[in-house]
Amino acid sequence: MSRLGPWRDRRSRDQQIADDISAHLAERIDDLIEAGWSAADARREARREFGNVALSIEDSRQVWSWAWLEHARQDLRYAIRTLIASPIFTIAAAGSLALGLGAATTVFSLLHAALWRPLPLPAPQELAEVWCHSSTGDFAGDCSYSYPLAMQLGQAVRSSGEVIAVGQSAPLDVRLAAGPGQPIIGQAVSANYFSALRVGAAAGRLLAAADDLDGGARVAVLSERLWRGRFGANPQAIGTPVRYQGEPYTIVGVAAAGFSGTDAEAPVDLWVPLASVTAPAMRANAHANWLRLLMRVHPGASVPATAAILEGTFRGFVAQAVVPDLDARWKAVLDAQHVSLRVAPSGFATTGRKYEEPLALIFGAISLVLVIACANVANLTLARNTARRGELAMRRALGASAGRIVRQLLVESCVLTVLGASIGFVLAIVAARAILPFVPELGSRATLDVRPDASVVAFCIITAATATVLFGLGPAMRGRGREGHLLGTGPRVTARSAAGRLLVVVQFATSLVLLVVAGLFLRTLRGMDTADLGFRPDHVVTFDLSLPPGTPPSRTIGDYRAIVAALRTRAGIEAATYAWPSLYGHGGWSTSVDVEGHRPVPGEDMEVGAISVGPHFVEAASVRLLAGRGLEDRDITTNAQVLMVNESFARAFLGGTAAIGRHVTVPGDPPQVYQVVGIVGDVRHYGLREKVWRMIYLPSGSNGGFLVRSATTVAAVASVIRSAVSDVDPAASVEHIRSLGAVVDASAARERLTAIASTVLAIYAVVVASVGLYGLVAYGVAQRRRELAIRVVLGATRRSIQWLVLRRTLALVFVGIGAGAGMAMLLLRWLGSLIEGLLYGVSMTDVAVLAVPGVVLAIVASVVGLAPARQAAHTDPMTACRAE
Amino acid sequence: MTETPTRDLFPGALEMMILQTLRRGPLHGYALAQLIKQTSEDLLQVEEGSLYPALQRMLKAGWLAAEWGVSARNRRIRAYRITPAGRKQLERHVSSFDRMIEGIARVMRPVKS
Repeated sequence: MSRLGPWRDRRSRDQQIADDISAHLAERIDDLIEAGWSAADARREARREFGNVALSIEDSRQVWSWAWLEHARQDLRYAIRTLIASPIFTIAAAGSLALGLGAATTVFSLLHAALWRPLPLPAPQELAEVWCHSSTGDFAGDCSYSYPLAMQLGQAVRSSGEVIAVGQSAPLDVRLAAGPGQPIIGQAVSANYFSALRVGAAAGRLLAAADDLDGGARVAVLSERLWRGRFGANPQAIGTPVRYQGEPYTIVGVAAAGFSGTDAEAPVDLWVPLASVTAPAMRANAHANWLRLLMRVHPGASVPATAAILEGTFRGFVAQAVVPDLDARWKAVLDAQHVSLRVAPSGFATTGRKYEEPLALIFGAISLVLVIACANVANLTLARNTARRGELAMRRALGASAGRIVRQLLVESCVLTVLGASIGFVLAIVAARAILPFVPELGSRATLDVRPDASVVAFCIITAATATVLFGLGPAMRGRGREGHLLGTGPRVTARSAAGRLLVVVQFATSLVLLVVAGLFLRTLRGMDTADLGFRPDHVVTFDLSLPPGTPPSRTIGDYRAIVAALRTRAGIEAATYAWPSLYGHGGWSTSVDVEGHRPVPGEDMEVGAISVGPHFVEAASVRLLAGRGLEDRDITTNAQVLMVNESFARAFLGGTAAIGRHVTVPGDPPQVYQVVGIVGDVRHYGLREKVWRMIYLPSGSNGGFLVRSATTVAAVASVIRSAVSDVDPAASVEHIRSLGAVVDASAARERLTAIASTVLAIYAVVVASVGLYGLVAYGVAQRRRELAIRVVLGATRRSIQWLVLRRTLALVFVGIGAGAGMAMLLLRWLGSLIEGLLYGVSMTDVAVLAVPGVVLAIVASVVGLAPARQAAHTDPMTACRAE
Repeated sequence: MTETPTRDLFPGALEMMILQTLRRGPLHGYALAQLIKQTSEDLLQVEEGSLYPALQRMLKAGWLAAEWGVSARNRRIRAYRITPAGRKQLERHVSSFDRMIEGIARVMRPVKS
């Protein structure tokens, strides 16, 4: 029998039990007939003696079943039936959970994809980024190193690991023989890249030391994805030529499947050796920082000790190779810089690092929202269990144990969670993708893979399970039900009200915290949007010009001049110029100056920021011209020794109106003397959070990015730009066309993301808390109906009844607001540095930011509490008293 | 496990009676029920329906074995017999039952002066 499998086994056992019992009955009937009973009477008597046949069979079978499984199935069926029977409760509860769990899973999947997911290679925990930081706080973020420094660092720590150097990854025009030209992300890497990362080859060979030498073969390695997509994974692809930045390369191999470089957000499809993309002079240049360094630290090696060696090597290199060429100010900047190791199993995670703080903050906010959602579901469940206490008491009376009832209620909670978590998971998949465009660093590329993986699923399940315990266990324990309830003699439900009141307090406190955070970030966003930048970014389009390698400087200057001139003649273009560094651009330089008529006091800071600009910068950027004139074409063409200064410069060094015509000397060999021709307003040239420098604007023949002012759309301007540039120089190409407004907006992306997220979460929290409050008050009013009716009979006015109800609501809410204010202040103190770094134009101790949410919540609570209060006031005493 | 259906008796009483009755030889469920009724002289009313879950529990515990046979009326019936494990269980039951009876007797009997 058992050979036929457990199912068959069980069925035959069931059959045996049934047969056994029917034989019993048949024997008894025969006995009774022999004793003289009629057949019909005998049958009836046998059944009477036996009792409930079906129950006996069922109980006998039960003995063999997995009782808990059987019960779980029953509980599940029952739970689903009861949930379907009360659709409003189910939708409200599952909806709350879906939003809470969905939000948490969304942020987790973003953090996971951008920051935490280890690179798909062996032992990723051994990876560390060669990290740089400054004790003065400057130059944090992008850590890049020169080629000679990278080599020295690698040599210094070769006993404890391998240092890998990678260049910028950039979409480059790679032409494969097998298909049309298309931007493919390529990256130059050191020869030990694949071996140190322990990435194998799917075909052919990977990079070897000999490839990364001067005169080494121009070889390229493809990603498996590109190989599969473009070559159909054909081994014949090995050895075929490919053009990379116009240069011929040979494909020598394919990296293992799944590997797409060392930065998850910028998957790379083609790797070439460093030596093949740079001239020997570039690799000898100690000032050109263009490499990022990742290290695989050998298992036995100590990370702090290795970091100390790196720091020592860095100090030595700076002292020997860099500092001798620099002035004292830069020396100080470099002295403040340090190199260390930062464990980085996920690789560089550039954008992830940048958004780590806002995402962590949002994650915290979402945890609070989840607590609110759980509180809400707990409250709903409590209310529902109270309404069901007749049913539960009936079940107790019919013999269900208390444990069984608790389990039944928990199963209902689990069904709710599964429902909520499933919806939330789907929401999370959609939302994670929808959020990416708000991250400008990713939006244009959208290459970050935010599809949920096992970790995301695990997170969702664990969070859901925790939520179930949070909202399910309490009400279930309370809902066990006592048999007395059936008779209406059980304890009154004050316990439920106490728990409900506590939950409402928690909800309002949490809402207040979220409102405070949202307020801080909305103020920040408004502060950034309304900040006076000193220029008007709207209607300005910026672009970069790319000329073929080896273009002589004279031709570059000619191109710049001709392009500006050509653009200015085109319809719809109001002004055009160029600047380096461009507005909100990277880089920059500064110099000390000597100002005619200004005698510096000893130790006075004479360092000024310097911008190289083309003609008509004032018009193109809409900078305020305070005195004199802007730089014009003739200043550029004649190499005139003139400059513009900004307001801060004029205030500090020029003292008054006689500024125009004074001379400014920039030290050098020989020193350059410029005459001031104009004073412009202060401009936030480097970004909103940078201090306003004293500035000089020097005329330049060719430098930096272009700025084009036009009233038309970006797309229209872009086509004008392309045609103008190709008219001037067909070999030149236009890159990075975008509106300056978008650049400025992008600089506030972290703050915008935080503001939007915290506002949405705060609104959600307030809505949920209001629903909770309404439920509680309405329930309370329903409970007190008779008491209120008696008060009316005894002469209470409607107004006094209304106030009676509202007073309790408001007391509750004020407790919540007070608790929330306390929580918010503690939280702000605790997270001070994290939040402060993201704020702009608002202080954490801003009274309005704390007060406004309190007032908002009080108003919301009054409005929400008023409806049940009015209802209570309009209670008809006769109806109320008769109802019970 | 389902709650024991022999509410009127103390826990394990039905099992004890079944084991005790089967010690004399294998029996069909019907015969077993009749025998328990007769030997207890109808003092202990066993609800016949509750016999079968108890039999299944004891089969599962290994105290009983069952095989199909034929009754005097040539009807296919299932005969239950006690196993060595069942005998051991019975001994345990009886000794604890005796202790209980003794305990009850001591409490109930008037104290001798």
